[in-house]
Amino acid sequence: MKTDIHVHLIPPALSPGADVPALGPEALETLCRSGGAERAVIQGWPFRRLEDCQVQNRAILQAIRTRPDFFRGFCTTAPGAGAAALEEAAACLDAGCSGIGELDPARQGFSLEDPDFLKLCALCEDRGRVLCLHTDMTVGREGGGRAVLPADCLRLIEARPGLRLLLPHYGGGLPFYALMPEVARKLKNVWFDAAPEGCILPPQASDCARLCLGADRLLFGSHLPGPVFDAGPCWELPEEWEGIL
Amino acid sequence: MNRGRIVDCHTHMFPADIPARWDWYAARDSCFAELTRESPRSRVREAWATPEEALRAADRAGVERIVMQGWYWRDMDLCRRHNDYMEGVVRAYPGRFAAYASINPVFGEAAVREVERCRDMGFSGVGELGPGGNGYPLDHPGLLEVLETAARLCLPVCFHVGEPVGHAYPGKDRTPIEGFYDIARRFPDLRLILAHMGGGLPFYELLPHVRQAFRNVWYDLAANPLLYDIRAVKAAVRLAGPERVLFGTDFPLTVYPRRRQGQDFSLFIEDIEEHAGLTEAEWELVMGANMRRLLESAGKGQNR
Repeated sequence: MKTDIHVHLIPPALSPGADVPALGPEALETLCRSGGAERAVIQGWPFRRLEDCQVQNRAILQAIRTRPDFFRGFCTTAPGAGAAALEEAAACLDAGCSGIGELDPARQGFSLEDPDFLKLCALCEDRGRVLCLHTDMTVGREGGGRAVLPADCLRLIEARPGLRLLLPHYGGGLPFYALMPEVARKLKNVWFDAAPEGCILPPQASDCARLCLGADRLLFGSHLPGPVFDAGPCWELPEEWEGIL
Repeated sequence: MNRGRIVDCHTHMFPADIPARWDWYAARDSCFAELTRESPRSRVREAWATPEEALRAADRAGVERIVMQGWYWRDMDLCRRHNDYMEGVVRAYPGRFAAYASINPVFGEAAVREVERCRDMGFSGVGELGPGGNGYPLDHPGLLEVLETAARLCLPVCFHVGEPVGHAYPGKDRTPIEGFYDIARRFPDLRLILAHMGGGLPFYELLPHVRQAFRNVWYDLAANPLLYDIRAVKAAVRLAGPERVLFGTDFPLTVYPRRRQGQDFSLFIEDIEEHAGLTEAEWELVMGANMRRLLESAGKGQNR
């Protein structure tokens, strides 16, 4: 099924804290379908405050309950909130979310070695769920905060080979290093999405990423309803992901 | 594909007494020692070749022109000696060799003077520079002086670049690759050759502002078979465009250690021909035309 793995549904009250506009589920579905998607996965926005994450998650769960034929969802949480963050994520997985994310260490102020973040990784491993982790471009990135770069992600991957990871926005450039055989071997549980953001990637990016990764590792993502520069037509989700969603 | 017009932009030739007295040089330069030590554990080794041996291997493989990169010696006297040697090789075999200048930018004004001396001797560029091996950051004042001089003289500068991920190997340069983006923006007219596929920098050319900054950046393929799958050649061509990828081997380094030891250009050429999926037009550019263009325009800048 043609699936957009990366859209956002921001409740109006939280819109000022996110870089994408607020849009209701119906309007979001219409927008996604116009790009060819037959299904979309709502990624949670990486809010810094757990209270905001909870509001975001209620909106995501509502959308996947009311439009089950079109929407799936990941839940967000704020790792800095410790046990409460873990509790929130576990409750959302119980309620029907397919994974945790999008988490963003730079925006949310945590590191990949943070014990509270690692507990979220363990939760995903235990439940066979996916963690969606924002990764920054090593070169040419925009924005502040401590960037999480492909080399950081690879250390996490090496430490937790059983963790299923979705690295959005071309994984910050990590796909290129899949051309190194020893790196490729480590990416068996890692997928990337083609969602453009801020500094926009032109359409040939997905062709190049597929050349580096192989066809089944790159998932379509639009980042709708955020600013989109020609995300191109939606494509089929790999069969392996049907079980995940 | 058109064999016989190939230019190898990245080789290393040493004066004969360096391999003969390896222990003496290794004691003076630990980076040289690390990179050229024969290890029983590793099948990869720095082989040695005389110009005559290099030409015989080049003729077998259809390589028309061999570009000798200098070595990043820590000692400026060794740099000068190496440059004198390469100048002699270029003169002895007209049309077959070209040379890039060995320098260590840490020496500041002395390094600048050596760049100018090499330009006057007909050198075609500066490098291979090894920031990690020589222990300087990419904003070192001595380096900036050298780059300014190279830009003024229209001499391309070749850097040894390592990958931020992947296996460790002797000589892996840990200098953060972001620094080359800063250099490209600071010296927009400087021609940069980022060796070993720029440590993965071609991927970031998918960002329009990076691509714009890197319009005078070329990527060489030296030692690629030791680092990447052969698909990487096509990936670099797609990402940077066929005009900015250069064939290079790191000859006489053994880049297919399981198949052949030393003094060989042909295995990599055959691998590219058979498995990289380049079009005829891409092949022409990558395997020779791009580097010929850089050689033709080298050194035609202004004196002080």
